[in-house]
Amino acid sequence: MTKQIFQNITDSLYQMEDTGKVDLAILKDLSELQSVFKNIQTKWLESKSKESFYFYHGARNAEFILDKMKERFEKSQEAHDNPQIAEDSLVVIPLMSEVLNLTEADNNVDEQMVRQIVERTRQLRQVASDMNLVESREKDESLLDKATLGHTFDTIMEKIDIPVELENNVVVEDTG
Amino acid sequence: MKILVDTNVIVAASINENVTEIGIPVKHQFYDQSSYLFGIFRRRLGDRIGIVTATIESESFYTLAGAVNAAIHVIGGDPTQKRKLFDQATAIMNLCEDKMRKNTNILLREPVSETDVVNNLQLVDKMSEELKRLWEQKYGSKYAKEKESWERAKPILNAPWKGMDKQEIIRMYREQIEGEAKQLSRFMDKYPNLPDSKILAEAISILQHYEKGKEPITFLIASCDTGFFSPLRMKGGFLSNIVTTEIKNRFKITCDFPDKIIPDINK
Repeated sequence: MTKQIFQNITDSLYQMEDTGKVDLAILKDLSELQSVFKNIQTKWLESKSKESFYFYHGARNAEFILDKMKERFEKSQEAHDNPQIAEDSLVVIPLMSEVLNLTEADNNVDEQMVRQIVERTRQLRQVASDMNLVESREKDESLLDKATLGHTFDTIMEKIDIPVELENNVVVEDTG
Repeated sequence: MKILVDTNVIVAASINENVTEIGIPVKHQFYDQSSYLFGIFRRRLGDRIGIVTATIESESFYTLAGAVNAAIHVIGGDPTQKRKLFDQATAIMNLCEDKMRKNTNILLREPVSETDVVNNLQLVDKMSEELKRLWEQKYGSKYAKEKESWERAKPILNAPWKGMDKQEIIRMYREQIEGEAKQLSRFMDKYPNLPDSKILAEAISILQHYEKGKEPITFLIASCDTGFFSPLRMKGGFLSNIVTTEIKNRFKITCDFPDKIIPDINK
């Protein structure tokens, strides 16, 4: 079913590119694809795998990019984004398809799969950013719990294998 | 001069820039020096001092993702709030990735020959194996350390003059050996450490390429990893640097924390 949704979307985009006109019927397919990614997120939330976050992260970012894509399609006439939005979306869709394939995997993940999904998600975001299809920084900031963020960042730093404080009150001076 | 920037410096700088912008107080002492190093690279963009490889770039994102995932498991919390925790983690990943991309864009991306890397990896593996043997012989067990303490103390213990108490002498050497062992101990915790070995092999290949038919250059690795690419500095000025000394002696590459490298850039 998801293969068909991608095919519909790709066909519509090529059509728009050829005719130079946006067809808002694509919004239905984009919403369907978003639902698929939302279901995938739920699957990984319920998973007991210690690696479930990586796959949730991929699917969540794909959902965000589709939000932005839909927004640009809706505003395409007044923003004269027509058919630039179709061209930009065509660049992103193949990578999104790869992220979908990886995140639809079953729960038996190995390191290779984790590396792949991290890399594909990074590439998807990078390409989407180049195509002006990522949300603003404020969107990500709005998801942060600022009360606990300091503790979260310190915990992340410890996990990068950099000691928070070196032994014996080390002399390293912070020249920042 | 060229400075290869290690993965943890790239990740730390991205975290620091985010916490600064969001205005979150944090205690980690290595944030600032990583950002400061990138600030210097930006100000001296034309000199192209800072370099990175594709392996380091890719490892940086993977390291960040791994650290965020590990932090989620540490933080844990109410299972009904899992979506909120995962969404926060996604936001942190996105914000840090964006900063990492901006920072790595100002670094010179040096291509490396796979053949050279494979050849140099053999040299790195040889060094690692010899360090492992050294660990086993002198530092890896209480017996080994005790034996080494007595070996070092022998000339003083056998001296004709009466000086310090024998046990005090042995204690001093024991402490010296414990201090020396710290960096090597961290190295052994991660042994065989394939990602860092590959990064070092790439660094050697890049240096060889730079020096082909030209003047020798100063080549450094900026890192906060005290298990491979940074010495441990302890109270009283004691330095634990067996691994980084070997890297310097064998490959002419100096490895240290950003704040120790920065004065060399500014000379």
